[in-house]
Amino acid sequence: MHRRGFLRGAALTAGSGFATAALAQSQMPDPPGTTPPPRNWDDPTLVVYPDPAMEVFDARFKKYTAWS
Amino acid sequence: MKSDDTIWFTDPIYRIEGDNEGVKATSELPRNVYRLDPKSGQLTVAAGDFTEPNGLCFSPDEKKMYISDTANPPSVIRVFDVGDDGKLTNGRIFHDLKDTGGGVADDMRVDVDGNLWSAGGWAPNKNFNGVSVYAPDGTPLGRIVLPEVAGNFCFGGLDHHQSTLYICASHSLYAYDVGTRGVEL
Repeated sequence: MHRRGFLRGAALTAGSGFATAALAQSQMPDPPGTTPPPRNWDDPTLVVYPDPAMEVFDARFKKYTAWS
Repeated sequence: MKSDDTIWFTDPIYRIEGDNEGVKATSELPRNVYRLDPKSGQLTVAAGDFTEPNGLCFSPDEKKMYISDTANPPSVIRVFDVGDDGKLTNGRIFHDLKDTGGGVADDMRVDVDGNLWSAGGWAPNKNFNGVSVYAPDGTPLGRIVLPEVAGNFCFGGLDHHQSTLYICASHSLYAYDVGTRGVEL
């Protein structure tokens, strides 16, 4: 079964065709040239890439972690 | 590869016993470390007393070879002297992983200072997952801890700087800049 056909069938079965279409539209990427909404970069809950977790067993290892 | 163009590799039997890699079959050969001379086409057994030989690499001067045995147990990194005849002799334990949390050592590389870097994981303590670093005398120096098992990695970077670790883990590829350089192959 084609993926699109499966999704269409599932939406009709659930009687929520409109909601499904709206959800799909909301998940589409912004068209080129669109300015994204402003973000709050000071939000403390913002997830960023974590720093590497380093375990130092011997002091000689510290110089190898200096650039991470 | 060694600087004389010989190719060294291990032959564990993990995957041939399952369907996830290749075709499931019964292993036909012992679990050896092999040396292939591409000039003569001759394949020889460099070392044969392993349970599950896995990662391997030369020291910077190519006078020693490190090989992990990943049967768990034993889960050790062994070191050998490399003879001019292509034989590995004087095998001894370089590091026993049960001394630093267990698990197994997989891929291995050396840096320009002669330290051994080893990917690994599969230990009861999840903090073992990642890349462990050992001094040339086997002393554990440190570990880059990852949230998942690390199997393979290499030193890389632009212009042969060889100071970025690219680590291939279970579900992710990581890149870390480190304060040394890997030995180029």
